[in-house]
Amino acid sequence: MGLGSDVVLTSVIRITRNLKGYPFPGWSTAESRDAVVTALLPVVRLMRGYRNGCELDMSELSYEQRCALLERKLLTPCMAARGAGCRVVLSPKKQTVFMLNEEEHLVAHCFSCSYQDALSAASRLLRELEAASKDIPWAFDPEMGYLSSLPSEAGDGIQFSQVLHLPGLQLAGMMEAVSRAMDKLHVTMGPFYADGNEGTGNTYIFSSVPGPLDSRSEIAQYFGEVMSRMELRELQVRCQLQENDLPRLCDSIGRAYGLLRHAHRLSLRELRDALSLLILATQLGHVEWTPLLPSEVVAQLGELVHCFSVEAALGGDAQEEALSLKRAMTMRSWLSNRPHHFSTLYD
Amino acid sequence: MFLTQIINGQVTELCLCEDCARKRGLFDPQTLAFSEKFFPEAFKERVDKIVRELIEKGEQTTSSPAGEKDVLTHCPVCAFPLDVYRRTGRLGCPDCYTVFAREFAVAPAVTDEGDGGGDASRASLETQLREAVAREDYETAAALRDRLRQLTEKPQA
Repeated sequence: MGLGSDVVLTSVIRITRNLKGYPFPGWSTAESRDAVVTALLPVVRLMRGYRNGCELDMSELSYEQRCALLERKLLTPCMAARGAGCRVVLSPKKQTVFMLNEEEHLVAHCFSCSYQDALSAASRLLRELEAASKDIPWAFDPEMGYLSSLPSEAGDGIQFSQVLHLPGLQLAGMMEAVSRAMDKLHVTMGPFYADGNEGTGNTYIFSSVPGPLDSRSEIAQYFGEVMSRMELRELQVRCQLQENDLPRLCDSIGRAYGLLRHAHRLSLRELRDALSLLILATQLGHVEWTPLLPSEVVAQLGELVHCFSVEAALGGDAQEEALSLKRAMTMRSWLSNRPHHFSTLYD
Repeated sequence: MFLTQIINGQVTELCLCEDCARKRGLFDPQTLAFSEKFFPEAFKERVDKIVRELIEKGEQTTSSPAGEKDVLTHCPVCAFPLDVYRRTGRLGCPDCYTVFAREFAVAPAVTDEGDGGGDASRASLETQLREAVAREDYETAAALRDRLRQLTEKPQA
């Protein structure tokens, strides 16, 4: 969970640039991509904090390594599918990742729990990038801004995203209304974890629509305000559920706990949905984990979701049966090794 | 064969059949792209000469016509096909922005309320509407349709 927030999991700021005179990665040859890497890699290496960064050549990564990076959200799906002439540079603390020849020639993602910290990190990164790339001919139009492979995304070359955990709104059946509202507010949203076409784990990613040049600060502020309202709404709905619909809330949490505590087979979807509700129960104080703090338990449960997701991605369908047994066993053991009790409400 | 020359924002488009293009030595798009990059002056001179010849002979040259047949179907720099842009919304290279500018430029007639009506304006809107429908840009098409309706209703008001 985000720093000081029960709702915000992470904030991501995406910065994109393209080189003049080279085809965009989606329409390029291996030679052209190599030329882009030759031009841009020294720029990334010049930036403070990347001299000791981890450089990965996509063509040298195994399928398993790509899956692991993808599930950790350190790569985008587009980058994970790339081959020759595509590079990834991870900062030592893994708070920033540079992708060369993703959908654009250069893509940087800045991660932070706090939106303000992510904004500060992105501003620093932009300053360093500008200083390191003084002689780089970016594809830039004075009217349209930084050119992108998608004309609708040409502009200031920056996009703001946040990942929110919204079990309250999901339980209240309000996600469709949220989706319609976001559409009107020009914010895109989609499931963060997906099982086929359906989202799981009540976790969603929201992104701003790239705006025209010189609109960066306005969009950053606007998106921040929209996300703050979303966070507030989720917290309000949680309170409303506690006050007005407690039996249903407790029933959902109790069923999720029962599944995790006693199931002998767990699909990834069941596991994510149940863990989401156990996290909600911990945050609402329905479960006490003495001597562990609620935040420590939430962090551990979040880590479990990540680990199981990576494992499922690596295992594929063939190992699903074995993995479902392993998930259930891990959860039973995890719960039995951590003393906990539900509030009197459940007695 | 379609050839676009852009100098200081002025667009000159040549539309030649295969035989005419070969007669004038314009048969290799990749070489043309390179010659434009490495020998811009010589390239400009050559294109100017061809344009003059065509004008003298009264052959078809276009500066910014509205007909679909005059639209470039491929980017001369990266060979990206226009129909892929229409299907996916993505472009091939930064130069595609100039080459296919008309594709994503908003029709002024849609937004310019002060633009006078009249048959010429209506005909232009109808052409733009047909083009928008052809490229499945229904948002622009709807705006153009509304503008046409306004023009039709104005004389009665």
